[in-house]
Order: sequence, then structure tokens, then C-alpha cells
Amino acid sequence: MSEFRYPIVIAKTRKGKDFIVSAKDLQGINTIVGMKFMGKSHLAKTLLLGLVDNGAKCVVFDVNDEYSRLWLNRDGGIREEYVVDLGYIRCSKIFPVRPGVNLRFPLRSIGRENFIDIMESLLEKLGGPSLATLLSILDDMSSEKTWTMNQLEFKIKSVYDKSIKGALERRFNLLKNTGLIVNETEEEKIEESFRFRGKIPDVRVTMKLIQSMSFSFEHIMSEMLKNGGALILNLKGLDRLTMRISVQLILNKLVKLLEGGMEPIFLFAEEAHLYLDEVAWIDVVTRIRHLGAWQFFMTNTPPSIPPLIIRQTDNLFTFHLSIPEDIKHVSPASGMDYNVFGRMVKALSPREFIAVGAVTEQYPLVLRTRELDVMTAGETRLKFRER
Amino acid sequence: MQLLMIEGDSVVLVYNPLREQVEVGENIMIIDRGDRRGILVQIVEISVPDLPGILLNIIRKEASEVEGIKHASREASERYHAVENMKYTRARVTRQLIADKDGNITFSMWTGYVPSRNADFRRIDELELIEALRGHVHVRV
Repeated sequence: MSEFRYPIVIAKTRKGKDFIVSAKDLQGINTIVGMKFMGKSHLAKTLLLGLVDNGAKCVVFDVNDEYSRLWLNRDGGIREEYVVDLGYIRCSKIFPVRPGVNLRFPLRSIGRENFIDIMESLLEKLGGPSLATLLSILDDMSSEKTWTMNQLEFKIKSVYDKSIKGALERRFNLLKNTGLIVNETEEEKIEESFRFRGKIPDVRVTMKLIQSMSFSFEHIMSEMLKNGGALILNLKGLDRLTMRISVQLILNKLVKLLEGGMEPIFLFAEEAHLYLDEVAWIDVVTRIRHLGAWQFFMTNTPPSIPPLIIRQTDNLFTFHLSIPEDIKHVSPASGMDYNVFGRMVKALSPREFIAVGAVTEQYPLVLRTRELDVMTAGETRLKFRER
Repeated sequence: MQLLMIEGDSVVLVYNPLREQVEVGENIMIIDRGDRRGILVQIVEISVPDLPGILLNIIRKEASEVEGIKHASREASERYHAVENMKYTRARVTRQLIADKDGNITFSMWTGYVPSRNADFRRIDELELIEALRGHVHVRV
């Protein structure tokens, strides 16, 4: 029996007993590092499901499509504890979305500053005259209350100066091709159509239908995950630009929602260096954290994590590491000196990890990942399935 | 298990692998029999003794082309092999501990105290240790 109000069984001890932590102690910066195939993602999934079981809302930046099917058990059966009934629809509260396919952002919801940030992140920064023209277009649209992509395109095409028009057009076309920004999303239509159709008994069918519908981030967070759950942002196979813009848009939205009083959430960022530059990353860790976005960073390339984040880490989970640079980079978060930490992590076998931080009273403990009866692996396409 | 050396927060323990096994990450309380104080150490490395006599004998054995003829008695030979097969373990001092008159142990930050070699060794599993550090239970001697 646990002493905690919000317990999570994160692992087993070497003697095979459950190791329980309090979800409260995960409210900080959590870093999971280790070589490939040692169990990092498995531990991240254990932590994610533990938080969801305790009613938390989570957002996962999933670069390998490993988290989308956590609502199914290993045999493909539905795990009823991850099914939510919203009245008109029964769906999974592990809610996978694909940016540009069933996660889109209405132009009017982005905001002027954020939109300019995005236009500038597409290519190099906009020059003064181009920026002034874009601002004037956005101001016009704002006063005319015509926030649509068609209107924006029309106004950019109407710019007289050829070089400014070219600079804006190039960016607009790149953004349009990502499919991320739309005039409106379809929540109302979706709700109507589900009400008309009646509740579909098989959640698998609902989840398949949902893949072809477009939702806004706000709707997912406030409706689909209203009693806790995880939004899985499937970034697998997306080009770097779409990946970066999707993450940037979501972070901007999160800030707004958190400032507006949304309860704190947990962010899971796998291989964050692929879609966050150092400035954005530090912003996440410093500013956004204080608004109530607690974070998990998972990587097999520890030096990709900025040193500031290593120093700020509240809980470190380290699987086997053997490269001296990796060990040296991570050791400040362990509270141990480099040599001692190095000796210990080199001696870890697969699925074993050292946990140190708030969850272990700052004492380094060697633990083992525990079994999860969920579909955990991503779908990697293989040419050869046997040796 | 015996306390061989202490250097700063690094402790070297020697043990006979035929009698006991040790794993990296394990936690051991070393409690001085005299003053009921002690230290909590965590194993960070396991190795074999590198005493000059043992090393020289290994080199001699490997260098000789034919297997040497043993003149020592069987008992002496077994004793020699037991010494040769001993293991060292390097551990790090993580906490200081004190036992009250009822045998309840309290852990605190290590302030440099070291026990004498006249000490008892007690392994403590992860759950018992974390529960004690969280203040949920008392560990007893």
C-alpha cells in the first residue's frame, strides 16, 4: 500500500518489488538518457501512463510514432481505463494526432506576433520593408475581421513591390504546404455528425474516423482530455520545417492556455533537438515551466541537451551509457562526480537505470523497468524480418 | 566482508565471492560496533585484488611453458587460491547514520565520520532505504 496520494509504479527493484513514486515529485524537469534499446522510451511510457492514471493532462512530441497505441493492450484489445465517454462519442484519452492532417490551427487563433514568428522561422528573418508590409496586411485583416488563408493569400498577391511580394509569397506557400493552418477547424461539424450517427460502440472505429477529421489544439485539450489524458503529436516522417512549426504553434497555444488558467500539464519531448532550437528550448524550461508545463526530455544523444537544462534537472533517469562525452555531459545532474557516475552507468544492464532526484530523495538508486501491458512499439517498416 | 581502506568518500571493501555476492548500486550500512555510528555506502565498482604478490604469480604462471609442479600442501594451495580469488569493491559514502538505544537508525548528510574496522556490515534493499529516507519507516540495526 502506498503512502502517496498520487502514486506511480515506475519500476521494479532488483528484488522484483514495485518502486512507487509520487506524481507530485515529477513536477519539474525530468531527463531520461541512455543508449538505444536500453529502455528509455519504455520508462517514459510508464511515467506517462502513470500520470494519466492520476488524471494529469500530457502532451507528447512523438518522433517515432511509439505512443499512439498506448490505449491498446499487447493483444490489440482496448484498455477500458483509457476510454472516455464524452456523451456523443466514446474515444481514447490517449489521443493521437498528426499535424497538418487531423491537427490544424485556425489562422485567427494564432495571433499576430506568433504568426510573424512563424513566417520568419520558415526562411531567414524578414527584411524591414517585408515585415512592415506583412504587419499592415495583418492589421487590415484584423480590422476587416477577415482572418482566412484565402484572404491572406489574396492580400499578399496584391502587394505592389515585386521583391516584397516574392519574399512573402515564398513563405506563405511553404506554410500553406504544411497543411497546418486553416480557416476553421471542424469540431462543431464533427460533434454534429457523431450525434447524428449515434455513439459507435467500438472505440477502434471511432479512433480510425478521428484520424480523418481536423481538430484544434484547444478543443482537444478542453474537450477530449477534460478528465486527463495524453495528446500524442505524431511527428514521425514529417519534414523538419513542419515539425518545428507544429511544436512552436503548440507551445504558443500552451502558454496562452496556461496563462488563461488551464491546469498544469506535462510535456514529453523525445529527441527535442530535432524540433527545438536552443533558445526555444531554454524558453520552455524557464518561462513555460513556471506557467505549469512540467517536462520530460528523452534522448540517446545526451550532449544535445543544453547544459542549463542538465543543471536544472530535478529527476535524472540514466540507462546504460558508455561514451565518455555522454557521461560527462549528464553527470552534473546526478549529484555524483564524473568518475563515480561513469563507473555506475557503465555497469548497468539493459532495462536497468539509475534514478536520482526528487523521486528518490536525491539518492541514486538502481532500478529495472517494469512490464507494461500496452502496445508500445512504433511501426518501423522492415525489409528483412528474420536474420 | 571487511573494510580495507577509506580515502575521502571512497571506501574499499574486500569480500569472498564464494560466500557472498555484491552488485553495483547495492547499498551497505557499515556500523561501528563501538560507538553505534556508521556510514551508508553504495557500491560503484567491483574488481579483483592487485596486490604485487598475486600479480607476480599470475605473470609467472602465464610465462612458464609447462605447468608448474606444486610442492605446497593441498591446504596451503587452497588458501592461496582463496586469497587470489577474493574480490574488491569500491563504494562511495552516501550518508552518515546513527543507531539509537532501540536500534533505530537515522540517516543524515555525511560529515566525514568513518567507522573503525571493528564494524558490522548490513545490506539494505532499495525499498527499505527509500522508505527510510522518505521518513515513512525506521531501519533497524
